[in-house]
Amino acid sequence: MRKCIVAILIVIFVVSICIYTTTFTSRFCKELEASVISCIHEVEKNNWPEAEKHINSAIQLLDEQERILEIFVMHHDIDEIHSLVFKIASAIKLKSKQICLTESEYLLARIHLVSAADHPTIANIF
Amino acid sequence: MTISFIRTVILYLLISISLRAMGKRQVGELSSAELVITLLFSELAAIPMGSTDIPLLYGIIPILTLLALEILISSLFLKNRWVRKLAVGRISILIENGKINQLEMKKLRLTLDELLEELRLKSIIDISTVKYAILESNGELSVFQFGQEMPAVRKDLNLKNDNTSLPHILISDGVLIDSEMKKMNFGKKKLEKELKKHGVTSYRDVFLMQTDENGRTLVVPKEKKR
Repeated sequence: MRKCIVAILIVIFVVSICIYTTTFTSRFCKELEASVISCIHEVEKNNWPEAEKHINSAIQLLDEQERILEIFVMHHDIDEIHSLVFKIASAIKLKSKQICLTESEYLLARIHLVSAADHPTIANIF
Repeated sequence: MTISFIRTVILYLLISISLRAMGKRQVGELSSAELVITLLFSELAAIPMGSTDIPLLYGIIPILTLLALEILISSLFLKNRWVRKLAVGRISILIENGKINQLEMKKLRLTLDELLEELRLKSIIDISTVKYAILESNGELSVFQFGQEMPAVRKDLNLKNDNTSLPHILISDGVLIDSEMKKMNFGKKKLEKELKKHGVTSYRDVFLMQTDENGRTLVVPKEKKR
């Protein structure tokens, strides 16, 4: 009986971790996505200082959440997001619109993949 | 490298605790479900152990899930006979009252040669002496011979009961086990007396000392270093 209770507690613990990781990753991806989209809008308007502000907030968000994120998400995914964000930051400094927009779209696609990868959908399970 | 080392230690401890938590059944014969779980544990642990790119949780969560499922399902087996039959299978009686059940053997795709081999492994060379042969759900063959073919027991020879009792280990590799000493009412004086009988001066020089409720004592001194 005691072992059953322990097993049920383990199941509850595991399910809680799964729910937490999914919500945490989703929340992070939403916030990062918002920063990147705002950055894209500013780049399209050639408003480089504002674009730089948005990308810096994305960098700050990444720095704050990275340690926790690495516990749940594949490290190479985080590394890729990290490198893309810094690529965009460099492109903004160089005022290269084309590179900015291309890399931003790629970054949005990566963020979407990371967010979708953890959701318990039929496609992901199978 | 350090990360690999730390992960290996964590996963090793987790698997050891999980196997221990699943119970003593793991140490003996494994059922098909238990075998699957044991193999899965090793595979799941190897993935994050070898690749530091993968989060450790990717190994820990599946291992914990399997552990919980195994405990819950095995508890269900205890309570529900139908579930047990479904998962573990049923026994098959291959020989009943000395008669070979050929239909059952066909169902199991078991040849006569294989049956005779199993009987020989149990030191039975004459199939006509077998009353029952049962293929258990774990694949083991249990064999029961006709009464007159079985070895005699003390009862058959009208011999007095042998008072066999469980031995209690008092000294293990030079270490005195106080709880067992108390259980067997073995005081220090009695211990010294017993050791002296075997030419040993100190309990630290004893590899094994055991005694039972009938007062029989065994003392094995430690081998001297060459």
